[in-house]
Amino acid sequence: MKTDELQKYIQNLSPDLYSFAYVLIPDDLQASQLMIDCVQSFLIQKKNLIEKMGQSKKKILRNLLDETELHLLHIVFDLSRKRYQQLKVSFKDVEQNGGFFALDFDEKAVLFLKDKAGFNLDNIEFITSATRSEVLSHLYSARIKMTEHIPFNLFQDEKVIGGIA
Amino acid sequence: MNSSLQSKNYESQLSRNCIHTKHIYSLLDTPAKDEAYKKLSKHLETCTTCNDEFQKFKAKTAAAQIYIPKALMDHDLRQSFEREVGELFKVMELNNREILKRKVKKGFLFIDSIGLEFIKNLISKTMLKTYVMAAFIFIALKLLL
Repeated sequence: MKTDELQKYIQNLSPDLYSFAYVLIPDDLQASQLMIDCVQSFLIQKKNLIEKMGQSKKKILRNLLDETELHLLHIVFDLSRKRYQQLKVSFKDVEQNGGFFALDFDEKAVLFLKDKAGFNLDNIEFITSATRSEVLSHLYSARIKMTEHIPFNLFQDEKVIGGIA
Repeated sequence: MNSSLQSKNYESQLSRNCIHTKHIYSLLDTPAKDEAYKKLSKHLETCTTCNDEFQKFKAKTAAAQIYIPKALMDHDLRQSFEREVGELFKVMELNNREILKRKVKKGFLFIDSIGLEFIKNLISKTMLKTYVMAAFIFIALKLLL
């Protein structure tokens, strides 16, 4: 593969990177800056890996590209964690989105990666540098907090009629 | 706030009926191959309290999904990101052209180093001795023949 293809691959990843960055730092400009910094950091850290991509076979290449996505998300997570403490004061309306933005940093990340991005637990462990039990614990507390915003009697009437699917 | 209080009351009410109710929330994320998953799902088959609670929790979790945002990038932002990535590849010398340039440069350096080594060897002490020896043998042979 030529590096031009990797460049295109990274450019095409932008919607996924942006939505993850926005979940962690809910600000348009900060999120897009985070993405650029993340790509820059990736290119510095993984220069050898990128040059190796040029000589790899197709099968190995596919794995390397998948790795690239995980590495990028991992860097987004790491960078945003460092910036989060300084920036969180400026975030407004944290109670919007059913309290999603009021969740803890790790809880937001894990819940998004599991339910919205559809990653499995192994990949989430890699992206967040957390252990399996930590990931499960963050998921659990995030779900409990999120369900607290759902009205208690939301499904009661339906249950009387015949239950929900 | 009120609904949260109600929800907690309801959960504690249910928990009184079965000691496993507090564990069933983890069932949603535990991989199906895990032993804990198998045990809990087996328990759900027989315990209606836990099963009801689990179904309710599952439904609420599904309802809460709509609150997890998937922010979309606008066209300008995307274009600017793509431009930045292109620039980064250029600056980091990761373009195909740059890589080729670097490889050619490396190749020339290698050839240069080989040439220098060769010249160094030609004028080394051992080689000088060899030249003298060869000249001596050459002259000796000329005189004898």
